[in-house]
Amino acid sequence: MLSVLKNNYCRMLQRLPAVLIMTVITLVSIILAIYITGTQQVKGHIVYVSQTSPTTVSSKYLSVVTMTKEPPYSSLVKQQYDAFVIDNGNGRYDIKTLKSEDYKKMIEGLLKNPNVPVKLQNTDRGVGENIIGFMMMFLLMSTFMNLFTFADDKEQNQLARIASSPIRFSGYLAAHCIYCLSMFLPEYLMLVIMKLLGFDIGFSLLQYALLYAVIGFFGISLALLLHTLIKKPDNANMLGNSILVLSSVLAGSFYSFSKGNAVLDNVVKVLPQKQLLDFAHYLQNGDAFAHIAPLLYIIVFSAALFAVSCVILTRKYVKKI
Amino acid sequence: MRGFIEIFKMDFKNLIRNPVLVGYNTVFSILLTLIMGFLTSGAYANPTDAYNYYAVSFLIYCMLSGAMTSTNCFMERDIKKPNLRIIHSPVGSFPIYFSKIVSSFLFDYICHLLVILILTLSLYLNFGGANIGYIILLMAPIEFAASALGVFFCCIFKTEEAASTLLSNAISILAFLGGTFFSFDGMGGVLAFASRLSPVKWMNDTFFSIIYDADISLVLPLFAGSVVVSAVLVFGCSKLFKTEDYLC
Repeated sequence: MLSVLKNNYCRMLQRLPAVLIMTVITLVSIILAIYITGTQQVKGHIVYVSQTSPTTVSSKYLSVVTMTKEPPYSSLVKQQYDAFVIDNGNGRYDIKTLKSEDYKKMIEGLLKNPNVPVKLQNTDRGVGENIIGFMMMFLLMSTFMNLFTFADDKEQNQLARIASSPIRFSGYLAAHCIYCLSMFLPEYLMLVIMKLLGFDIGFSLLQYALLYAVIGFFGISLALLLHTLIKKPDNANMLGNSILVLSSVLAGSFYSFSKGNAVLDNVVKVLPQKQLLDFAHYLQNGDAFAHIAPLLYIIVFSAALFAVSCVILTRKYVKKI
Repeated sequence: MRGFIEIFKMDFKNLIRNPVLVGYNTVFSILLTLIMGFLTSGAYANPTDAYNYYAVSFLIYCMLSGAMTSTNCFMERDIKKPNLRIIHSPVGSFPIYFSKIVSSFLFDYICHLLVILILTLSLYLNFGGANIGYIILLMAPIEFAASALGVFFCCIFKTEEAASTLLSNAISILAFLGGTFFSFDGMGGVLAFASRLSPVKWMNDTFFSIIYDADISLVLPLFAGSVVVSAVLVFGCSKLFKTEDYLC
């Protein structure tokens, strides 16, 4: 098992540039997540259109610009501003926005009581949730890339040889899993450093280790299954990456969407990424033990994928001779 | 001239026969618009606004990605060798790269006009109403500049892989900054400033102001700018294109 592990690292060195780029992108996504959480407090950029008086509205939830003339309509479409508030005098306003009714009501509320804390749907996420959400897709994609050693072995029919060597097949697979998980270390180290430097990263390091392990397990199982089912490593990689990008975006890893579509919401709930984000949300709120089900779901889901790929692998490749 | 037309016809046929390129330039951009539009439509009072934003921004992204069409058209494995024969024929080297630029420009232009037609007819999206002529007029030099950029990069790097990987990464980063996937305008600070540096952002702004404000003051600068860029790139190709590179 150790020799397989060592061999994996040696082969990784040949692909170092790709591995490095992936790691850097993941690290940047963590920083972006922390930065974006900081700017989230502002709920709206509005333009206060008034001929006479400058704005009297000030709120820490709004950034207000006063103009005498309405800016072009396209600035609403470009999301440069979220709403125009047109002053009709006598404390009456006209609000022009492309956003939903709820959003309009929130702005109206803020104009009346500028400092009442607002909660806009469930799009408010803590820093830990954002870090997990932003990082998840890249971590999953990197497990796909890291399993290339296994994919190469399989493509070149080395599996039968490995099975007949003194090393046990389970040991061989375990080495790959350990290798993939160890490739998460730079990201983990980054979090440790940020924690030591005093940044607010949301979760404790132990909680991060758990989340990393779960993400890693899911990624490895999915990658193993696709590599088992699809002959060419390149095709499996491309298919896997597109599946991961689409499902992660749908699960709301970058921003959670309020769709209000019952059928689609149920479809999205099947995705393990969505369950993981839900679990991270409960963990953030401190009631993780009461909501352990999402975590179990991912683990069972991944275990099922892993078992299926092991069965197919032994039938198709190991016992082929 | 006759030699050029023959080569051009062949290149154009090759492009139309390539299912991956046809799919990438039509189905892919429509799917992207539909998925992103659907995901963000919840936040809008009128879902069409969400689709419209992504229809315009992905149209620009796909126009710039036309550079990948021309790298493929210029240096694909099956095409690179026949180019060697043309070098030895009496037509000279100019038609080799110029016909690739023109044919991939025409191919992308037709594909993207088709995308606009399908999206307007199926989702009733707004591409400028009476001003749609300006949009179509502006698309032409941008598509041409993108195609020329692809061929120019091939002339520099000599291989398709290097040129298209570098271009697709560079264009994706510029598009991301320019607000193709989500707008940075509202974020303020560093991100909004970085966004303003991206040429994709300038194009987005121009297109949106034509469509929503009927403001055509930015048409001329963008048109002239892309014509100048195209001319510079074609001139660069003529300087950098070396027939020796084909002696593989």
